[in-house]
Amino acid sequence: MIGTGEPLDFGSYRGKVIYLDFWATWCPPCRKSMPFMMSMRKELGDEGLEVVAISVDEEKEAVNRFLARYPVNFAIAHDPDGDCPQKFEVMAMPSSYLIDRQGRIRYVHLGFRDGDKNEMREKVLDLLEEKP
Amino acid sequence: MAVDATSDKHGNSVTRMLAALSGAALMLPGVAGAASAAAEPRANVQYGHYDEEGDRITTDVYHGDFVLPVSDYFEFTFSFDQDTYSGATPSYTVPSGISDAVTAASDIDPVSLGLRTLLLNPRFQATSREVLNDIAAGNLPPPQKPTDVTKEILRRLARQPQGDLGKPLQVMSPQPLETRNQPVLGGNFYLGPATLSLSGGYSLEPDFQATFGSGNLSLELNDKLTTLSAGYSQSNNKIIRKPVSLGGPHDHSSGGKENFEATSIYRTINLGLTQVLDKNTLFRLNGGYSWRRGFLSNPYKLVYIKDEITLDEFIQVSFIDGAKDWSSVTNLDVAGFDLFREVRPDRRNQWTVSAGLNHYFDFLDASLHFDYRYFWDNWDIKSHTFDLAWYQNLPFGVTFTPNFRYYSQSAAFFYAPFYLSPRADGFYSSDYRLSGFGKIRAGLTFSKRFAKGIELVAGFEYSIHKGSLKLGGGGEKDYADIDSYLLHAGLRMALADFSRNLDSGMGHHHRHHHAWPVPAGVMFAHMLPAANDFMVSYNYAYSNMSSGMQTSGRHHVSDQELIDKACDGGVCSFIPNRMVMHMHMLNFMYAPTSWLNLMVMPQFVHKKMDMVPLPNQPPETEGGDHRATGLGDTLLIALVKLFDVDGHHAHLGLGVSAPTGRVDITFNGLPDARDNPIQSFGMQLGSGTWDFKPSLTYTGGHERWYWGAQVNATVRLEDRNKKGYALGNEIQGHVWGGYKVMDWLAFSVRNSYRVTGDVRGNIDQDVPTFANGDPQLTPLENPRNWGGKFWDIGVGVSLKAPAGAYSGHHLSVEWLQPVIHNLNGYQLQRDGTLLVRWGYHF
Amino acid sequence: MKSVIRILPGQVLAMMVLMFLAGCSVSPWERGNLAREEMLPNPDPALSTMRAHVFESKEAASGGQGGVGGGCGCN
Repeated sequence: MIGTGEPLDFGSYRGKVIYLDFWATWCPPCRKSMPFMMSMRKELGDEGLEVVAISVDEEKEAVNRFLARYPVNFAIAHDPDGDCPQKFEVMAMPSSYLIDRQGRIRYVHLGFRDGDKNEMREKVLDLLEEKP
Repeated sequence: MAVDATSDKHGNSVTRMLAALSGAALMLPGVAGAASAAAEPRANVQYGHYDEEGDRITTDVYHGDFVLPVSDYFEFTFSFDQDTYSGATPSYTVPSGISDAVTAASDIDPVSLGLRTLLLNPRFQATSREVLNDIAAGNLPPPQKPTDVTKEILRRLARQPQGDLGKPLQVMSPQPLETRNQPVLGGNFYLGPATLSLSGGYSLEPDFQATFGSGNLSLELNDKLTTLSAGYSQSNNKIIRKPVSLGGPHDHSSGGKENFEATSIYRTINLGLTQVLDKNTLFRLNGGYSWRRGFLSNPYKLVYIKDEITLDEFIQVSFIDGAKDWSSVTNLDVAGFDLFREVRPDRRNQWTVSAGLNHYFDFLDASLHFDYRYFWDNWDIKSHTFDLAWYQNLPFGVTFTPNFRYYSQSAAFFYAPFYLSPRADGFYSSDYRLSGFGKIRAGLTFSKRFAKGIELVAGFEYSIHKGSLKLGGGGEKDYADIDSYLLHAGLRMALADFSRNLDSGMGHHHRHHHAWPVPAGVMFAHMLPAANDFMVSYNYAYSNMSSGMQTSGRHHVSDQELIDKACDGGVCSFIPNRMVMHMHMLNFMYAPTSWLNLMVMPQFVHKKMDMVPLPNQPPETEGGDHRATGLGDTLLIALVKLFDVDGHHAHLGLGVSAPTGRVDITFNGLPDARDNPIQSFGMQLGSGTWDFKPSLTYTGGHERWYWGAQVNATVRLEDRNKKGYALGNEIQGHVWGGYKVMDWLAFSVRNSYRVTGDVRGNIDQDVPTFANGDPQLTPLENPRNWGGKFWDIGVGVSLKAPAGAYSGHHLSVEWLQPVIHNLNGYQLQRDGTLLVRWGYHF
Repeated sequence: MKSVIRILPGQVLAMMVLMFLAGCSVSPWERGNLAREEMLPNPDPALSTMRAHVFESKEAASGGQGGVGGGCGCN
């Protein structure tokens, strides 16, 4: 995790809906999705939405430089060795995984385009409505 | 319930769960087979300067382009190129043994200028005397017919080659200053794994006009690791050759001949494969086939062919027959004595095969590019190209790229420097571009990436073209060797920042600080608020003066008054009828600190003036238009903040205007000389002097109202420029006010007053004359017809992009209307000027 | 020309198959280096176009430049 240096612990998000995003500073659609993720977190954070964005950049400096220029309001993790993306079988950049309050992966979205925003938001709202 | 790394509460592995889910998810729309998203909006500007050794071709290239994504699936592209070139280029080659040939050593062209001019040529006269002396002295047999004497004179002048011919000698012909313009419009469609690119445009220069279009389809396969592409392009071309004009600078009556026009079509298909080999390596393979039909020769180049026409035939057609019809003796176009226009085949089929490899060296943080291309065509030309580039990344966003290129080609089957006997197939060309040679180019490119999405690229490359460098030997002899260099500089910019969040309160949003709009026609009035800010702006001014001549206080001046009084020391023959000016200026601004801004402002100028004869001229006199196009003077300015409090701001500007604009542009575009006059002060591209440019600006505003004032001056730091004069000093004051109707829209009104001082000195050259020797005077060359007092009113509108990805862009348009102009002497009346400014604040 | 055509089918096909197999091992998250601007087939199109124009006006050969593909492979 950027900031604390602690390993990412999914357990700590129990009971919340997680928007898990795999991104990199070298991926233009990933960078473009940042403002969207920020607005989602700002709008729905109180209702139980957590956003965790895992950067797969091989160089940590690149991530730090990016965040210095574009600070974000959600958690950022860094996995330069490819373990996480491999386990999640990431097939495209960016990839977003919506995880419900019970910890089950409910939705996978490959890529990011402007037209995807509404759909993602709908799915997140659906998951938030489900009782823990 | 925790989702641990490998299994859920039922022990199902994440992998299987994902597989199940992903399978389901993939059936949902919008997930499967997503294509590459459209790129971010970007723009580039670039300048190139190409120069050949000696006084051969010099070219200035100006380029601008932008990419604008319109939606997730479509982006729009536009580019514009302008080349300005001049100098000299080889026209033909002769063996030096006959370098005294009539057309080689002098400009006599008996074919077009006729016997009279030939007889006036001093060398012809000298040789005639020599021949007549020899006949009188008995060294030559007595002539049977008068033409025997002419034949002997020509034979001596031509000195028909016998024995050792000596080295080939290239004879140059001048290339007048000309401009080529090329706009290209395009679109890229992102459709799933496929991308379709379409583009079309045209290229216009005085003797070549092309309309072209292309389409390319690419397909991403194999998880986007493999890309296949196929494309087709076509260019329809028109080739024009103009006749020679014979009068003085303002006399454009054509020599009676028409333009030569021809057409050609080029079609090309290409196929490509790009393959990712590993995470650091990319491989590409391309193949192309092009077929060209139509007029493929160069309409200006000539060839020397001995024995195509006999001396008797030459004399018969040149001097005896009235009609000068060469078709009875040759199929070729005769351009001089043993000189003919080149003829290339009208079909050309060409193939290329190329391969390239890019590899990134992680431990060095550098990439290597290697490319090889093999070319062959049905003109028997085969060529190899080896390209190597090493991109070395260094700290601070700097990249150094040394690059190297080796090119080798074999000659076309019909190429020869000159021809000692005619060819059976009738094809001839001595253009060095079709000869055998090798060329080595070495260069270095430097680029610096700034934090805000701006990258500066500059570089230098030097080329050596030598016959002896041809792979395998057998290239053209060294008379055709030539060196050249290319200097280039450019700026690549991101036009929007999609990573930027709309929500202010995060990151730098000082750009939303009080940035009062500035009318489009006022320079140096805006300062960047924070350190490390950049601004790039494009300023355009258009003026069209077609309301006739004016003098102080009077808008209408009679022709007789102009004839008698407007020209210094004589009677006027021509007056300007219309002048059009386009000025394009780029402004690069950087704030090293919050109180200092540095600006570099190059400009590109295009001026066109139409002249018409006054009634005192004979009726058949024609006027004509004259142009000057090219780089203008470059401004280097520093702005220093004096105070900035409560919405009131003032700053001081100090800087210079560097004389990068030419002041030696002639009427006919050829190099200036004592007998080839240059255009007047107002038609040159710059002042020719270093000028001091101080300014003092105040801006203020309150709620929706804003206002400003500025005083600026231009003080010439030299008494005379290299052509013998200095323009007058200037002082100018502006006052403006405006109202912001909306956050993004404002209107302004401006009041400007300018005083322009007198020209000192005068252009140091002979007065231009008509063909008969009479002087051609116009009011433009009279230094007393310069300067004055100008009062203008401007009305403008300013637009600003809203907060978000595109914030930082602004556009202003203004119309500047002359109110009262007190002109010195007799000048063209000034009509309004249209001013546009687009800027992007990074 | 004839000798080039003889090379084309057999050896190039073999090359292409090898390339395919090699390329299969790059995962989407490993494409950072390929996404670098200097690793694109045509890193600076404006500069390459300017150079190509200068070369093609002084040499007999033309074409063979450019290329699409490579890059970050993002969606």
